[in-house]
Amino acid sequence: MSTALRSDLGDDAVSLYGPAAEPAAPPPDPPPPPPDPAAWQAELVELLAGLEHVRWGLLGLPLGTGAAALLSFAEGTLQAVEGLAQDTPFPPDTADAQAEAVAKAGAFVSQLAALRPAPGGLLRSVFAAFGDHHPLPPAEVKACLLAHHEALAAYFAVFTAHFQSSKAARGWVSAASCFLTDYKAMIRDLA
Amino acid sequence: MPQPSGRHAQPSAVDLLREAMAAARGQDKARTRDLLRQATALDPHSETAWLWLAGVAESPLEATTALERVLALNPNHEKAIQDVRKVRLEAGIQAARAKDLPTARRLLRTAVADDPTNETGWVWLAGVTDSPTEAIGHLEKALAINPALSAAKKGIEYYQKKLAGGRKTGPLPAAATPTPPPGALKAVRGGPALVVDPSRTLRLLIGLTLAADGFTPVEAEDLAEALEAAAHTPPAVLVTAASLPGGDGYDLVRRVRERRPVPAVLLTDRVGTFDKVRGQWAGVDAHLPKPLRPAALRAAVAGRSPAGVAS
Repeated sequence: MSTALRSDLGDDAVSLYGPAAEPAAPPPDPPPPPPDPAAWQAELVELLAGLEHVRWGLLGLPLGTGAAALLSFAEGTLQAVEGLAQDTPFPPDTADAQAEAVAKAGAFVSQLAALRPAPGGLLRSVFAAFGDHHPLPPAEVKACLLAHHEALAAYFAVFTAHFQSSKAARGWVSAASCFLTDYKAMIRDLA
Repeated sequence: MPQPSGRHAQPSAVDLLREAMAAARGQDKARTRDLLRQATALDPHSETAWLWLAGVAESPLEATTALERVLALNPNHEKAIQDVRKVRLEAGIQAARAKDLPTARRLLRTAVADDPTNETGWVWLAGVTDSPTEAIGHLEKALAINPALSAAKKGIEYYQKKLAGGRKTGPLPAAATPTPPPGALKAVRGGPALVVDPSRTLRLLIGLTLAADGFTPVEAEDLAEALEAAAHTPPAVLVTAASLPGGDGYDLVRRVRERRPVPAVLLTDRVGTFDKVRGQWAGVDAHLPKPLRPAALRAAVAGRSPAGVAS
């Protein structure tokens, strides 16, 4: 019986034929297979090595003239991390951690947007247009970088949860913690 | 219009050396090598040409040959004496991989004669030797240098079994191919890996990558710390950044390899021809660009270890 006919019959239809049958829900997707620990670790090592390589190149950069480069680093690295997260079939039990990571990434993006003159556009070109005559407020740049740090930490937690055991994750956790510690120190020391 | 006399004449070896220098400045390593090969063909008595050719050689074997030519011309050439010791083992390994047994044996025997404390040399020599008895002798020498070298122990067991089997069945066949014993294939694996980089995170990541192949990372932040670590724990492999506080990676590789020819991988922001030439002189086996790519690092280290023979 069509939905229109049921509508015309009103409540009688329900009494005669019962409620309309809902289409059968598709079976839930099977959980993604666990990752090959070695391959997953290698992927994370490559990602973190890339982040560290860029971070290392920014060490000692003055906050005044280097703000644009620092924010570009933050934006680029978060994109790389999000890219890996999107390409990875995480198990359902990491949903909360993923949501937290996305929220923290959103917080960073909001702060970054606030530093960008409207209507937006490529960060680099905007900053270039402003040049040294309109330096970005150092406190806000630092706050934005700290938000970036928080977002990275949240994503790293998701990546850690993707290992099958804490033992398998140990090496990655050490390296990621080291990166986050050094990055935070770098933000703190910016002057 | 007639050209001045000699304008199109065959260039002299000196002309070729000048051209080679210009090509090297232009970072055209292939042309540099080609010109130096021509120069050595034109003037086989040019020490300079042979020495330069060794610096841009395509392989350790070519470098060794060039350096041996320098030494044939000038047996007291200090740089050639030093450098040939560094590349001879690599050349021997290369010859072994190419199954050129006579060359491999000659080079490896000279390499271990140059440095009898080089366990890697003894293990490789065992792999290319003709008889199990001789192989056992070489592996025992490796074991005497490093009693913890499980590869040598396994290798000895392997050859002893082979020897026992051979006695039952008749005369021992000569080794047809350079096949190091199963344990010896991992001679460079599983040992200490000296990882040198000013970035703590990168050291951990390199260590993590090498640990996947059984290495035990030993970290150092700068040149002084690395030299101290190398003296305390002789590394089976060295992975270093090109730029280090207190010196540079090239200097580190050269100084570590003065003690033993460990495989050395240099991680660097730039990999130009001059960097490679400089690295080759220092004894660098592979240049890898930063940022680190784990697969490339593992391949570079595996390609420099005796395990490469098996693959």
